[in-house]
Amino acid sequence: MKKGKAEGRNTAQEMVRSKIKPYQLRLYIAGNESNSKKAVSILEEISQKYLGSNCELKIIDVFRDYQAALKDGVLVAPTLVWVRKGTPAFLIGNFDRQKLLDFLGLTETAGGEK
Amino acid sequence: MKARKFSMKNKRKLLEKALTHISGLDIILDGGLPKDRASLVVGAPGSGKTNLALEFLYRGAMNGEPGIFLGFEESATSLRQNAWSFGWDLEALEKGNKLFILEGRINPETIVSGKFSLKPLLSIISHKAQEMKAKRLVIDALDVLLQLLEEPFAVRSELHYLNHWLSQQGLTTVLTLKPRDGQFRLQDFFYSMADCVIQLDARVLNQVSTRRLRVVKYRGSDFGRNEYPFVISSSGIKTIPITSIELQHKPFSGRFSTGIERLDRLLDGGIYRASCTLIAGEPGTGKTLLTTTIMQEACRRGEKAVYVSFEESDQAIINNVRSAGINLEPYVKSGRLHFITAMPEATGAEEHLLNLMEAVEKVNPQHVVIDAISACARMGGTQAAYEYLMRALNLLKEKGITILLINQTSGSREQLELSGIGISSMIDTVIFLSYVHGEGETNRTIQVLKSRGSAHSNQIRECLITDDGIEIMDAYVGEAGVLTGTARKIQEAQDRLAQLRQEALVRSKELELARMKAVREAEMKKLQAEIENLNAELNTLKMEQQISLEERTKRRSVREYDKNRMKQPTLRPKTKKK
Repeated sequence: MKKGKAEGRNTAQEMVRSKIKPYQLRLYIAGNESNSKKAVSILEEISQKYLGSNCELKIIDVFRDYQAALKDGVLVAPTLVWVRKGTPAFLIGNFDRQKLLDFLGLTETAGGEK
Repeated sequence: MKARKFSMKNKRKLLEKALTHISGLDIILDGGLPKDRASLVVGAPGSGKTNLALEFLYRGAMNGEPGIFLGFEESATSLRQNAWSFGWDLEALEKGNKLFILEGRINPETIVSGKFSLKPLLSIISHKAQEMKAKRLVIDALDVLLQLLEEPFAVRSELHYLNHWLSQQGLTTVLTLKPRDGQFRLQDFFYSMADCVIQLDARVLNQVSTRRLRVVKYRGSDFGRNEYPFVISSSGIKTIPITSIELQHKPFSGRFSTGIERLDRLLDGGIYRASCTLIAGEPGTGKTLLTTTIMQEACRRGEKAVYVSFEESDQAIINNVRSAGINLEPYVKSGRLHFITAMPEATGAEEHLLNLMEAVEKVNPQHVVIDAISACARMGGTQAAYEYLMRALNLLKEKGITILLINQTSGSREQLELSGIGISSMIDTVIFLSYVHGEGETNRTIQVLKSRGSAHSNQIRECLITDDGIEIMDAYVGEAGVLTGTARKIQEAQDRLAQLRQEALVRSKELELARMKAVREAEMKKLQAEIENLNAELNTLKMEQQISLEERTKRRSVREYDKNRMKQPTLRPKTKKK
């Protein structure tokens, strides 16, 4: 897992530099339960702040579209799926900022905020 | 089918149930699992939880109740392969929309952070269930997922939600769970959630693996409370409950001949049908021969028998008894005599029991022989043997089948291991075969030690093994105990001699008496003669006395005459002088 994270960081930064839209993100939520709402707000904030136009974010409510969840093999919420080069990576649980940044291979310093 | 019979007995239907269609399980569950509710199957890895759950779905799907399998441990591919080994074609069911496998395995690349909810998977299941009109659901190894939720509180709230969700789905659900140690016991939650809890257990006893199943709880329903052995056979899970909670042994009905007239007489007319007879004895005393004699006679009458041999192959038995005039071959060929030969240690006790009961179903015999109960201990210890025999005897007795058990004893008569495995209460008749040593030879004896419900001779008889089978001799019961063989013959001769001696003695006494009587008579005659002699002498003397008296009187009178004549001249002067 650690190895995966390290690789993720490198490729992500490369991608940011090369200006390809590297962040194909899908966030699965379960209606308006608190964990999901929290996840949405953190993700939106981070993606705006760090990813900007590099990010394509879809928020999917499993109660509305269970087939998408089935297709992605998502069984719990919130789950963030990041599809890179065809393979998905998963972050499950009510992640905080730091966990999300780690997952996306970003660091706080990269965005300038100390 | 059995289950239907069972539930009909309960006139008051407390709870709707869904048949598992798993052999024997519906009887233990008194009609199946609680319909539309959650049941829990708990067991260590390898105890057969997933198999049980999968079979519940498979058999349900085959009987018109589609189902969903959600597994957190095994991949769909490995499930399909496992199922295939039981001859279940899951893919066909999946294509027919009767079964849906949802893989819940967590990708190892997944990063877990804090709390999450199970809502997506529940949403998938309820949509899928509606789509395929599913009636059954299995959630296999949910603990694997819940383990990722580190906080007990989060687990609790998820389980509450799951419980609530399940109660609204109309799905008969089986959850499986591995028992885990630890501060937080997931188990307790699952236990309280489920209406029915089944515990599975696989253990190895004396190198033989045995599986057990126990219903721990069943809300609102009766259930078999014992530990039931089960096997994962080539066609799925099988369990043989001691059919029911109550004993329903058939009563004895009539007797049948053993084929040995004198033994029939010892048994007061033969062996009772539906009874259990133990034939015990040391090696070589003729146990197998006696048993096969009885079986041959049964087959001759047109009856059928199943012979379970744990010690010899069927061919060896047939060959061995042929020399004693027992020919089983035609009955084996015609199917009246069915042999099951197996090494006791080859499988666990349950499998042996299943093999026996399957043969019984197939052959439908009047008699079952188990040769020998002493070998059953090799199935995995005395406990396993006890369970095997107890269950077998119960099931056979319920079917009204006559049972012959063979037991090899090794000790002397003082330590009779008649039923060392603790089944003596199930045994109605005991025939004990033994050796008697003495006079440079060894002889066989037979004795009926116990015979429920009938008078029987408890004499020890000698039995001979001849070319014509077993022959039972008269009992010789003398002061010296039971005698056999040459010793019996010698004793008989000695007895005859003693008898003659006694007769002679009597005769001589009689003669002596007669002689004495004769002597007495002779003496009496002699005395009489003496008396008569004396009498005669006495008479003679008396006569002589008489005669002499008369003569004296005569003489005196003569003398007096003379005196008177001479008196006057001579006598006077003398007187004057005076």
